[in-house]
Amino acid sequence: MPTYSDQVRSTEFAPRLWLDLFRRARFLRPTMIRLALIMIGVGVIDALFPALNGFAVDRFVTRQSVDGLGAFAGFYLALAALQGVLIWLLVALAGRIEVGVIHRFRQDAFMHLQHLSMSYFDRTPRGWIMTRLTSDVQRLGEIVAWGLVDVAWGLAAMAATAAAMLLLDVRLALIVLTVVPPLALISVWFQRRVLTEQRHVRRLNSEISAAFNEGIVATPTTKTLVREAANLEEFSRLTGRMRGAAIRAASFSSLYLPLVILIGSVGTALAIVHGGMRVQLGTLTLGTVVAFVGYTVMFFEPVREVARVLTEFQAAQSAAERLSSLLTTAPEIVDSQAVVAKFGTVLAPQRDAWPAMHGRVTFERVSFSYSEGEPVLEDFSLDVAAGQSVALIGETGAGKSTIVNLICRFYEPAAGRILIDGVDIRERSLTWLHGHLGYVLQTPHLFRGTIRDNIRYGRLDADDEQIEQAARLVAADEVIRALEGGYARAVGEGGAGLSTGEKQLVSFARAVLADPRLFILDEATSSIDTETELRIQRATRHLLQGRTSFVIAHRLSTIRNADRILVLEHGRIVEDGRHSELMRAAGNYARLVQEQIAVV
Amino acid sequence: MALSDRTTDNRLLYGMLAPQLPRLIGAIAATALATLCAFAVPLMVQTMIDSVFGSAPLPPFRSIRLLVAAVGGVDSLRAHLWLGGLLIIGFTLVDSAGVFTAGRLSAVAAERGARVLRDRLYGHLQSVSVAYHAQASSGDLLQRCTSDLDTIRRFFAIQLSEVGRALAMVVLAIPVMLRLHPGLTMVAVALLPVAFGFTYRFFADVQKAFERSDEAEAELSALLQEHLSGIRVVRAFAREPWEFRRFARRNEYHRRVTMKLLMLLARYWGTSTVLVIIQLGAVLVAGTLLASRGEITVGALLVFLMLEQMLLWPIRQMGMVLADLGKARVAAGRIAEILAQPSEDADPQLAGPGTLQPPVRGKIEFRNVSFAYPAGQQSPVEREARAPTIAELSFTIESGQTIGFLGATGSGKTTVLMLLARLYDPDSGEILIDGVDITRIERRWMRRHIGFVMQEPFLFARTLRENISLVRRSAHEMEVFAAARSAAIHEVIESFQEGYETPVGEKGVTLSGGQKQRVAIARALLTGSPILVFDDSLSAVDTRTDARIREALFERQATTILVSHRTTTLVRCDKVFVFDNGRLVEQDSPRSLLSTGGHFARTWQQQHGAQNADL
Repeated sequence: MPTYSDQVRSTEFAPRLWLDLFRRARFLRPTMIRLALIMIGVGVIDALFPALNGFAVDRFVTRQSVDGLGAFAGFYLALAALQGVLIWLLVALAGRIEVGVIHRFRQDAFMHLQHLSMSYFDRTPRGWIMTRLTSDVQRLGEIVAWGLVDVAWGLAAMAATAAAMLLLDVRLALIVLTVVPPLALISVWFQRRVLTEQRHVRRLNSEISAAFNEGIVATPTTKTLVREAANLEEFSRLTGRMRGAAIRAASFSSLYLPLVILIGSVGTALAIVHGGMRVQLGTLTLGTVVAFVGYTVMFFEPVREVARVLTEFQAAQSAAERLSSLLTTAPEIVDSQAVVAKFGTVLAPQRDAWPAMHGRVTFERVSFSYSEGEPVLEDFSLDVAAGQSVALIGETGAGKSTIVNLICRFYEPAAGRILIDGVDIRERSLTWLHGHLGYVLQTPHLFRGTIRDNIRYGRLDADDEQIEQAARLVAADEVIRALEGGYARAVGEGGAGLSTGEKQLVSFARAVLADPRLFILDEATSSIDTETELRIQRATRHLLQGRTSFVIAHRLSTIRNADRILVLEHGRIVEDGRHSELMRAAGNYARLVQEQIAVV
Repeated sequence: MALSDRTTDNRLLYGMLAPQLPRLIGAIAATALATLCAFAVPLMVQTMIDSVFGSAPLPPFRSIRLLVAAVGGVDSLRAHLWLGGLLIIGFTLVDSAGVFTAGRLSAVAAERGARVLRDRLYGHLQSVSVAYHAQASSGDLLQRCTSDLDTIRRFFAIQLSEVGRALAMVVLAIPVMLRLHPGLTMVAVALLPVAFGFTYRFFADVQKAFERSDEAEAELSALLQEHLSGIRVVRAFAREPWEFRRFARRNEYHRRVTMKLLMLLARYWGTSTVLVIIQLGAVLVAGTLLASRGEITVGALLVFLMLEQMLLWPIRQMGMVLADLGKARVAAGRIAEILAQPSEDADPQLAGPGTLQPPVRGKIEFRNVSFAYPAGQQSPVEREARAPTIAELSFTIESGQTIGFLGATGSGKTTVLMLLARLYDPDSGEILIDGVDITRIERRWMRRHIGFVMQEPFLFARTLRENISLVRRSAHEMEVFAAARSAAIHEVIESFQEGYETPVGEKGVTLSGGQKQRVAIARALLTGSPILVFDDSLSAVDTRTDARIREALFERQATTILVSHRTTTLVRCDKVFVFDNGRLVEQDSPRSLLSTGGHFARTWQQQHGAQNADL
């Protein structure tokens, strides 16, 4: 099942897609209608001005009388004021649509992400999701709001201009309007070309950003490898390509405007030559010619705008497609209707209705595979009593992480069932499960904020005393206090500024504060200095006490203290027992301990 | 980094400008020509309306009169009306060609300049010291290299030519108008300064609102980024509602500040529209009044109206551009700051670049070496909280020996390695390679002879083969395979669908920490360097693989330094050095260290005691 793809490059206009997105922004419909009406007003008023010029010539100049010029000036002033108000409204309303669309799409997408299964995040690059919620959403907001503005204005101005010309003089109007079809064709063709070129430039631009980023982040590596000159050479090739593409794109863009002005001047010439002839014959007023000259100067603008918006919609379609693919990705794991009714949703859980968890975990003939034809678990059964601590050991790919992923319900078994306290976990809500679960990752992840806030993540209503208590329980208190700023020390994204060991201790405190019934620990493999190591051992021992726990273990000390050790091989349990029993058996376990396990 | 002031910022802009000067002058000339021709169109219209169809004299411009004479005078124009039309189209054609030429030339100038600046920045960032990178934020540097540079590029590509066009318009339009009617000219330019000033003031004032909106956007993406990278933690603690509320708050804030900005813009566009229409209306009404009295012709009125329309937009635009000008200067300042940073070879905080290129056999000597990281800086490799300091360190490693380093985080092991690779230079004391002080050896020469594998090695966004053969691109496939086999990564790579051609990073495979380390080890082995340095580079590798790699290492003749916390790894070394707080507290063969019972022996006990008791 493809969940993301950058190859979406449909050239066919897909109205259904846009309708779907518009439906999400339906609350903005009244605003959109108001905006469209205003745009029509603006377009009509714009088309009035050349006619007013012509009127002034015929009414005042030709008759050589200034009677009513004051009133004319007043009318002009009023029109100026009206147009000013309309423009003000137009920007305000279009702005409201733009930010409204951006806000709503983002909110919807973020909410949808909360319901998607872990497997989605394992499959989909983070950057891909980021782009959907940032630049794509922004692009769509802009095009929906300002595209509407330009299309409504463009069509209204074109219609009003054509109408005004036809009203003034049908024959001259038809002659002058012959330049519109070539104008429209050239506009559409050019805008499309310009967009293609710009897309190419944007792609190169992001390549350059990536290269810069690599250049900056990799400096120590580059220096130790003495790669400076070679890197620069490669970079320079890239910037050279960029230069060529950017100049091409810019040349294309700067060719378009002169071209349409040129076509417009054909219109002007037609108006002057043909109109002038008829002025001489006395069948046309001078004012009409003046008005027509004015129209020929301005009418390429609406044509250009409409052409631009149409091509932009087409270009933005891939952004729309990708966002919509995110919004319509069905979560693979969902609570059933009955469960939702009973226990609430992810974003609105009904905690009062939650039964307590004791912690007995049962796998009943479970089969699972990440990709077809490569089963990880087959007909796997396991029963763990409440309060037992289980160490999972085995080589990479033996199924340790899979067991953990299934207990957390990040994935769902293909066959068989998993029970907690004797009840199928599908009959309980995901939030209930996660609400009773503690999970410490192999590489601990901390959020931006203080250490205190990070520990509080385990239980949001905990006070400072409870937080410190939790830290003391896992021997993190001393370590945190020794840091500059102590509990108030701010950590950067992902826990930047703390050592791996410190991060682990903080994440232990966070887990202990949550006081989960079911605890899952993916032990870090990387070695830490001995002192911190001892602290972590003590903390682990404390964490496992009195709760059901599954540990993907790499440390002998952890394994020795486990109630049960499961040695896994190709998704099967090959040995099951306590440390001393398994050592005596001198089987796989004994060999693994010797070879595989960090000897700390 | 307070080296920059306005002069250096301007110098950067001028420096970028200077080589492009011929093109820019060409662009200005083309603009002037285009503007002249653009103005000829209304005058031709006037000629037709007033003199060809009417009987008024030709407009008071010599060029127009000469032109009319050239096509056979007014009578000929009357007989062949299409000739007038053709002239209008002809003028527009030259105008168009001029506009296109100017646009293309300024694009070429801007893109060339931008490329030169990009290359210079990239090269410079690679040449500055590791210490500079350690204290700089990479996000900030990236911002300067991309969006700041783009601000400058846009300034040259678009803004400069906008200003040029507006100036050309004003300079050329006013004499034309004055010739036609001085009084009406006064009316025609009355509101232009107001429109310009209003736009300028507005965009200068509204800058803050723009920034606030940008910041809100950046804040929102940072939040999102963090949410996605911590998604497992979010799920495991069932914190979705809390995260959603947090996001919704930020999202709402972004909407609010952006809307505020848009409301300001609405006010601007509304007001400036009124200004523009009133200016046009003033010309129309005053012109009509004059025309009705016969003081100007209808054609001249039309010229005024057309010129006014051509003037208004660029003038308004110029206000916006000039208000933006500050941005280009700020951007130039931020880039100049990077470029002002001395390169490694010129850095006063480091020893000189060194000139010697002696053959390196691999004997390493530290004599009373002391070193402290500059205030506020940390080791960029360890990124640990405490900056390690080395005090009066002395030791000797013979060529071909394998030495193990043991010590707590921050005890100075990595610092020793960094000094050896001349990423930093000692504050006092000497480091000798085969008896030569390394500050006298060329920096790059030194590094070329050290195969350095960092704890968290960096792999480039290219294929695995390219990553391994980065330093020796000429390496034969068999050599690449051999290095990968020694690093115990060959089978892993072969198991990928595309094998060695598998790309690394976002677009390719995501390697585990241990796999990355092994690729980096293969890369270092392929260099065939006489000195190999592994900074805890086997930490994420399981013990069995660790042992395999070590076996391969011992077969090599190179001087090898292995940093590790695993005593099983260290025990096979010729000697073990134990570091504590920047001092060497133990150095001897592992066997005698075990028997004398110091720190190494204690760690061995801790790591093996329990196991031995049971086994």
